[in-house]
Formats: sequence, structure tokens, C-alpha cells
Amino acid sequence: MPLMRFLKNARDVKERLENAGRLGELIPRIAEELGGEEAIVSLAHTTDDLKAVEVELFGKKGIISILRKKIPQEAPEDRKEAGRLLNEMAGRYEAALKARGEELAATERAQKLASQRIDVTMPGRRPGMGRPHPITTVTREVVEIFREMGFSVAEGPEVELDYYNFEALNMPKDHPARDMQDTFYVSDEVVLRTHTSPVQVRTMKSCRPPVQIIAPGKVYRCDADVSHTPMFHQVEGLMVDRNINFSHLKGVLETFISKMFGSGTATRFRPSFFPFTEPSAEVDIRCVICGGKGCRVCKSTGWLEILGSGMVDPEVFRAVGYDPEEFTGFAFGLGMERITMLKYGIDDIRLFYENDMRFLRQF
Amino acid sequence: MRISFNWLREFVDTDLTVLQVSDRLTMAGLEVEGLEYLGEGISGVVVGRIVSISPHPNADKLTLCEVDNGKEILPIVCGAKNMKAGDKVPLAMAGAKLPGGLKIEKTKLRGVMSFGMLCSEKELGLAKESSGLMILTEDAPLGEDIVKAISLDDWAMEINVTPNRPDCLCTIGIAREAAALARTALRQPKLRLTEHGAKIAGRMKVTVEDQELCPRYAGRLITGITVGPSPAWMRRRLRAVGVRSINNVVDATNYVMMEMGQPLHAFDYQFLAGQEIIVRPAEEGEVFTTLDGIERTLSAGMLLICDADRPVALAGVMGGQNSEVSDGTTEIFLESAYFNPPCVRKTSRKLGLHTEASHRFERGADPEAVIKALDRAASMIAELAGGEIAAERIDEYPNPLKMPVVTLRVAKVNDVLGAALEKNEIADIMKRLHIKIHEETADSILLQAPAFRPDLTREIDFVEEAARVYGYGKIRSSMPARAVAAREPDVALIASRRAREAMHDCGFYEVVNYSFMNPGDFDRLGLPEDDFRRKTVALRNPLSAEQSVMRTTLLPSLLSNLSLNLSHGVRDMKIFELSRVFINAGAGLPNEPLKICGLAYGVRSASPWDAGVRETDFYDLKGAVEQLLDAMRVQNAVFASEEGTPFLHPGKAARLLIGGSPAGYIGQLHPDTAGRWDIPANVYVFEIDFQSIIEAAQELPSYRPLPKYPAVERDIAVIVPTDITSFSVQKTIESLKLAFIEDVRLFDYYEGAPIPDGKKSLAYTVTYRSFEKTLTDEEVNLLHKKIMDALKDRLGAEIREQ
Repeated sequence: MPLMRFLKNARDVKERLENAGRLGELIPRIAEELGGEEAIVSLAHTTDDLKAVEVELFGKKGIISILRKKIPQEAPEDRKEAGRLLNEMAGRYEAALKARGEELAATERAQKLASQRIDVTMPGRRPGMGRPHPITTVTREVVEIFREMGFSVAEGPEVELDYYNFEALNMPKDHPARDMQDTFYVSDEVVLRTHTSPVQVRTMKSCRPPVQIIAPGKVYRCDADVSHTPMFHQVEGLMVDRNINFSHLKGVLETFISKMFGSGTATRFRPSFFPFTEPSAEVDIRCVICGGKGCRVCKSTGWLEILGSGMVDPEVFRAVGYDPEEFTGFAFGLGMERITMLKYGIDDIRLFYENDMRFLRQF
Repeated sequence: MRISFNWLREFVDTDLTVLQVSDRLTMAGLEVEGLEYLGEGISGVVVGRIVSISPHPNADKLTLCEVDNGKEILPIVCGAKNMKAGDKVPLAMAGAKLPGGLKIEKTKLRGVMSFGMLCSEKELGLAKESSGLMILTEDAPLGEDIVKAISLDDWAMEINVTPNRPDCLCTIGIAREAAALARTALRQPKLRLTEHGAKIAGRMKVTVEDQELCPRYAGRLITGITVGPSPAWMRRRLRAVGVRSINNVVDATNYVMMEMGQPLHAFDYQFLAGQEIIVRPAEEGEVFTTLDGIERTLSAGMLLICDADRPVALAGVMGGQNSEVSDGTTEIFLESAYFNPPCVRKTSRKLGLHTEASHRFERGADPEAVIKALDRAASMIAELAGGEIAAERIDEYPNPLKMPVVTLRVAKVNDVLGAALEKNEIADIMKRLHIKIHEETADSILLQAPAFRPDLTREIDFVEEAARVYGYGKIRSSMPARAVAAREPDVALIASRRAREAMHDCGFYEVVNYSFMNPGDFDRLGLPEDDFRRKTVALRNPLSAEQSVMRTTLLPSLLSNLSLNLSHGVRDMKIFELSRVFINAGAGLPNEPLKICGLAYGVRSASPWDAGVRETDFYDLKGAVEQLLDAMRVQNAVFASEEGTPFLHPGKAARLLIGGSPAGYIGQLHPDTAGRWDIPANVYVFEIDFQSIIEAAQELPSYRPLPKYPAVERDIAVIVPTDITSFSVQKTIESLKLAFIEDVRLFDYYEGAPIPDGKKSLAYTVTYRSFEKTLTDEEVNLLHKKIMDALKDRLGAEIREQ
């Protein structure tokens, strides 16, 4: 073993040092006998090896220390030269040891890190995460678009007076338009709201124009089949002020549609009927599934109905104490289930309320 | 409303295709929801004539027909029995296609070549069932495509008629719209009515007792008729619009209703006692059997058509069994009337009896069409069933209804629409819609709607007419000047978003359930009779008993969600719902507090390869609730053990107090409750009043400067009786109100040897810190000793040696 030989060699050298002669001659000879500094450090293959070499050279009883102790015994005229030679030798060995030390440390660290390798393909340990119901996500998106346009959120009771749900909205009892909404009744005067429009009435009754609200919430209709659930979610909006007109209704809803479905989504406004608006309009967008070619979702029409809207009927303004000659306004409503189904391509509305985790985890 | 395009074209002179007409109607508010080509799927079927019929040589049930298709005579094997030589029948030749995709080929049947197939109505898609071949009329042109020959070259248009447009519940109404939109003329049906013999006056008497409920009542007498099947053209036309053929008399009245929108009723004259009609309000509790055979109990406010002795019809809704036209009827009294719309609607709703007639009357029929429709139907019956129409007609119309005259301001039109329509443009639209212009001034028009448009009574109604015919698409879009309405921050909205996000961060998925619940759930939860959750809002017309009351607690919904998911093999589930519940408050509307309810079940670890797989427990759910409260910046929440919640494990349940008031519960489900939902017992649930959270939420966290001096941590381990809670240890320390205590945190809990039975070990780290200086060991030791003494003295704690 080369290192062992060096160490033995070094011990031999030390023994001979006891009765050595002049240092000026001794030092170069020792250096020669030990071998060049680079040769020495190259013998050390581990930091432990290197430590052993360092001890033999620089330890308390190391060669360099012994030689340093000998300097005072030197003839005065030789001391300076001996010191210079010794320092030079020590410096060379020291530098070599340091360089080798860094080299070995790097190698050893690399080896150690390499031995700590893990299988990064094993699944991670998740802190756990939940997700919102898809209806919540889409409602939030819709509400935010309108909030950006200056609408603020209004709420009202879900168990509502017939008056607010129907009568104040120009739907007296025995009005045929009540057929459009199958109603759950609690009593003659109390219903489950069939739309969030009563929130509009309550808001208008409690404050003067300008009014600019959006009312998201649950609504109920006495109907259950493949495309209807007895409870669903609506977002309705209302804007009332002086000089609000149908052109504004179109502007606001087109802005909404381009933000919700992408700019350039073709839109059409089609006359319709709601007892609480006149003129009334249904708003269709180009079918997002087939692009207008006609498919099952759009019933081959190329269009998807997504919004009901219209100018607030003067009768509604009278019911809430606004002068229809002074104020005009528009209202609109859209069903969140329908929008959500279109957005994600969901084909059965009942899935929203089964709360099957296999469904919920997808959103 | 189903309309036949061919029928429509009898009244509108237009070259527009069915698609073009549909598009224009749709864009004018009469949405065409569906188009159905009646001859869909039929090709290669022609009118054939059976030349001869002979038995099949090898099969008893089959016959061999020689059939003439106009060009050649083909041998056809047939399985039907109802035909005879000379009959005209639909012949599907080789290569023909039938609805449902059936393709006809020439083929050998039991050894005899057949060059096609003779068809039944079912095979042509015209009927659900048929008992033999479809026998065509003698005048069907030989060899003609069957689609043409039996009027299948037609489109049925399914039109969504909104409740404000009763005028469009008939072919002429749609035609009128189409003509107005296409700027073309409307043709009226031709009327050829011949009267015979004595006047009706001496043979029929009509008295209207309530002219408000029955403003107009007209009738004609037709004698000498023969009731029988309608001719093929009539049956086909009715079928095209989805009406079942009954007999020639009823079919004629239905035909006129589908064409002109006026419901008519034919009474068997011989059953009208006293040859008299009296129109009178029903008496409360009066009983009457309608022609569907159902005995109905009437109430005041309904209107009856009676003869001298008894009711014979429920006005505007349905006739009576006692005077129904039957095969033996020879004389009829034909009624055409205008009934008060709300009266018909109330009657129809109260009795749950919705008919084609009530549908039209309650929306408002056309009082001016009463006579035209009566005469048209009478002439049609005379033509189809023979018979003679008695001279003259009865027409009780003492106070003719008048449509209001309305001023339409051009400026109003443009103000509402944000458009710039000219007066002339508006006037032109009104004329096209048959609206009468009484007068025009510089900036307004004086208008009167025709009687068939009961929806046009106010200025705004005419604004809509202008807009809809002008075209919504032509009105430009613009953004309103931004309103300066003061905006309140949407507090509840923001709070619920923050809560949802906090729950998601804890791994909980959001569920949304119906707001209904099963009232039986209260017993399943074991709630006492006086529990507030039993104060329900009940529905009068629920879809089912399981959904008959509004939820007062969200818990049963979540338990059902777990149950459903367990059936799909789910092993762990963390869900929550944020929703209103409905607490009956006696008079007035119920309270609708928002609740947040959560459920945790199953395996907690998300990495099954790891050693640390374990079941979710109480502290997992409590941690989530603590994190929720933290996210909502609620600082004054306390959990106190609670044994009295009937649906929770008595030893593993807590009440949540916010600011000292009860705000909810958390705990493990009681095994009995779990059993009743058929779910395992290791289910942990909470339900908290969300309003309490919002109210306690500190909106802005107040900033505290960061400490400049180091903290000193000292541990303390105590042995206390098991019924001493960790909370009481903490409270004891807090109650000392010692300076410099920054935090007291439980870091270890242990029961079992060497700790004696009935005792447990709790270990805390107490953090001491001063904001003014570095604390010395002596100062801390002094404080720590005070804590140890207090725990010994007040809780009987034994201090464990470190």
C-alpha cells in the first residue's frame, strides 16, 4: 500500500531526525525522501487518509513540527536559511493537502448524495385538497363578470311571498303566465320562489334608482325529469336608471357573453314573453357544440338559448313605486345548470344533485 | 302548438320555404322549436291497386296479390287479410325505404317471389298500431308517390306560443303573423253556408244569466245528420297537427278550432231538455259529470251551460256526458261562445282539467271570431255529415267588447329601444299587424288593436310590437353610462367564498343538495319533540313524501351522500355543504339561516404506500373546523364537550361556542344513527351556523410588532384524572394572568402504564417572552413554578419529573 509505505517512511525519517546534522542540508533531503507534495497527497484516497498524512507532517509530533523545534539549535548564521527552507516546504505540503482535501470532500459528498437516491416516480404525499361544486364555480364566474360591470350582489328569501314572486311582477293569481312556472306552494300566500326576480322587487322597494344588482340563488319548480330538477340555480340582474334602454340591454348582455363564452361568439336576440318585462327577449348563442351546423344539444337549430331578458314592465315599476315615465330599466336571468352543462359538456342535469364523488372530483 | 305547413300555405301567399318561414317566425317571437317532415324516411312507396288475390301455395297465413303500380303488375306476398281485389294500397317496391330504416328488397317467401310489400299505417309510421293494410281512397292516383298521395309531403311545425298570444293558437293566427312578416296578403277560408227550413228561434232558446262571465254566446241548429268517420283528407290533416280523429262532427269542430282558434262544442240536441240553454254560474258543491266520465264537484265562480233541467257543459272547459254527440246523434246544437278568461282559468285550475278549449279561452279567444267559426263549422258538418242548417243563428252579445284606443308616442318607442324609428315605419308595422290607426299627429299615433290581440292594451305593448317586427337584431348595442350607485361590499358573498376555500384547503369537496328533506329524518336523528329542527316549512304539493319539508338541518343530506358513495366503493370522503336551512317562525316567512355542514369518513392518508395509513378521527375533523374558524378570523370560539346530542356519540361530541353562544356541533355519529342510514359508525360530522361565523369574523387582523427579544420555552408534564380536560388545564394557566406567557401548547398526551388507571399524562410547552428584554432563567423559573403550583392546587395535578 503506497500510503502505508509513506507513513512508515515518514516514521523512519522522524527517528533519524533525532541525531541529524544541519537543517539546511537535512530539509531538502527529507523532502526528497518523502517524495514531492503532489505525489504524497495523491496517495490519500479518502479524507481519513489525508488526515493521517497531515498528522505525520503537521501533527504535534509531525515532521514539520520536529524540524521547527530544531531551528533554535542551529548555528545562528544558518537559522534564517533553515527557517526559510522549512516554511517553503511546509507551505507546499499545506497547499497540496488543502487542494486534495477539497477534491476528496467533493467526491465523497457526491458519493454520499448518490447513495441517497429515492424513487421519484412513487406518488407524492398530498396535503389533501377539495374542490367547489361545478355550479358554484360557474356561478362565481358569472357573478364576477357582472360585478366587473358595476353590478353588486343582492339576496332575498327562498321561501317567498306570492306577492313578490308573482303579483308584483305583473302575474296576478289566475294569470296564464303562471303556467310557465310550476310552483311549490307552502300556503295560499307563500311559495318557494320560482325565480330570483322577487329579489329585484324587494331591492326596488327598498331603494331609489340607480339600481344595478345581480341576484344569484336557488329557485324551485315542481318538475322533475331528465332535463328538470325541482331545485336549480339562477342568476338574475337588474339595471334601472333614467335613460336605460334596450340598446343597453343588448350591450351589457353581449359583453357578458363574450367574456363567458369567448369574444366573437355569435349572439341573437329573439322576441319572447315574460309578464314582468316588455319588450322581452330570449338570447341565443351559436351552438358551442356544433358551431351552428346543428346537433342534438341545439336540437338542430344551431343556436342555444341561454338568457331571458327584457325591459322592465311599467306595471312592475308601479308596484314598487317607481314612475315608469321617469325611469326605465332592463332585467335578465340565466340558469346556472344550463351554462354549466354547456361549459363542461354534462348531459344529465340530475348529476349535479347526486353528489357522486366520481363526478365531483372532475371539476 | 303544432301547425301544418301545407295548411298554413292555404292562407299565406308566399314562396318562402318552411325553413325561411320558421326563421322569420322565430325571430318575431313565435319560436319554431321543431320541424318534422311527415314523409320522413319513406321512399319508393307508391299507390298500387290490387288486381287479384290468390292463396299462397305453401303458407296458409299468406296470400299472393297481383298489384298494379301503374306501369306493371307485380306479384306481392302479403300477410294481411283486410284487403280485397280492387283496393288501392301503399305498395313498397324493391328498393323502397320505410320509417325506422327498413329497406324493401325482392325476395322469395316460402318459395314464391315477392317484388315488394304492401304497407299498413304502422309500417308507414302513421300509427302506433294497425290491424291490416292501409286501404287508400278510390281517388288516389295510381302509381303516385304515397308521400304526395296521402299528404305526407308536409311539415309539422312545433311552435312555442307564449301565453300572451292566444291569437297564434291556430293556423290562421300563425298565417297572419307570417303574412305580416313577409309583407304579403292573408287569405281567409272560403265560407259556403246554406240554411234550410224553419228558423232556429222557435226551436232553441238561449238565456245568458251572467254576461260578465259569458259576454257572447252563439249557436246554430243542424238536423238530419249522420255521425260517422271523417273522410281521409280530414283525418290526415288533423293527424298532421296532432289531433285524433273521433267522428265527422267532433272532427269538424276540432278542425275549425285548429284553423281559426275558436273552441266549439256540439250538443246532441235531443238531450237538451226544454230545447233550451241557460248560461249560469255554478253553485258551491254542485256535481257534474264531464264527458271524460269523471264526476266533478264544482264551486261558486265556475260557469255552467245548462238545459232546462241540468248542467250540460262546463263553460269553456269540457262538455257533459249527458249531451255528448254519439253515433246515434241526428240533430246537434253547435255552440260558439266567448267566455271570461279568468273564470275559465280558475275553473280549469281548480278542477285540474286542462283542455284545448280551456287553454284558448283562458288566454283570451277572439270575440269577433265567434260567428265566423260557428258558420264555418256548421257548413263543414253539413258537408261531412249531411244534414241541414236551420235558418239564422242565435247570437247573444249584448255588450260588444271594445279594445282600448292607445296613444303611441314615437319618442317613447325610441326611448325604450334606444333606436331611431320613423313614425311612418312604426305606422306601417301596425298596419301589417291589423292594428287600426285612428289618427296620426306629428309625434304620435292613435291605435286600436284588433279583438284577437287582447295583449295589446297599453303603450308599451305597441312598443314591443314595433320592436319585434322591426327586428331586435337591427337595434344597435351600446353600453350604459356607468351608474354611480353606491356599492356596498358584498360581505356575505366574500365570507362564503373564503369559507369554501378554507374547506377545500382542508381537503373537503363541496356538495349541493336539494333544499328538501324527509320529515321522517327527525326521528331517525332522534331529535326530541321540541327541537327547533322540527319547526319545518312543509310543502303543499311536494314531489314525494321524502321531499315534503324544507331542510332545517343539512346533516341528513350529507349522510345520504355518503351512503350513495359507499355503494360505489368509496373508501374515504370529506364533503361539506354551505346552504340555507328554513326554520318555521310561525306567522310570516320562515328564518333562512345559512349553515355550513361537513362530514369526514375513512382513510386519512393520501399515500397508501407510506406506513402511516390511518382512519380519520375526531381530531382530524376538529382541526378542519379550527382551520375554517381561523381562515374566517374567528377568535372567540370554544369547544365544550356535549353528551346530549342524540345523533352523536355521547363521548365524542362537542358543542361549538362562539362568543359564548352555541353556534353548532361537532362529533362522531352515534352508532344507532349511522345504522339508520346504513353507514359505518366512524363518520365525523359538524354543522355550524354560518351567520355566527360572519358576525364573529374579525375583518382586519390587527398588526402586532415582531418581538425583538428571544423566547424561552419550558415544558411541563402533568398527571391528572382522565376527566380533567386539556381545555381546563389551559384555562387554569391562562387564569393566572401571568406576564410574559406567549403560548401554551399541548405536545403530548398519554394514557396507560406506568400512568395509573383513571389518570392521564398531558405535556405542554410554555413559551415565555418579554417585549422589553431578554428574560433571565430566574424570572422564567419563578413563573414556571407558579404554573406548576396552580396545577397542583387547583386540578390536583401531579407534576412529572422531566
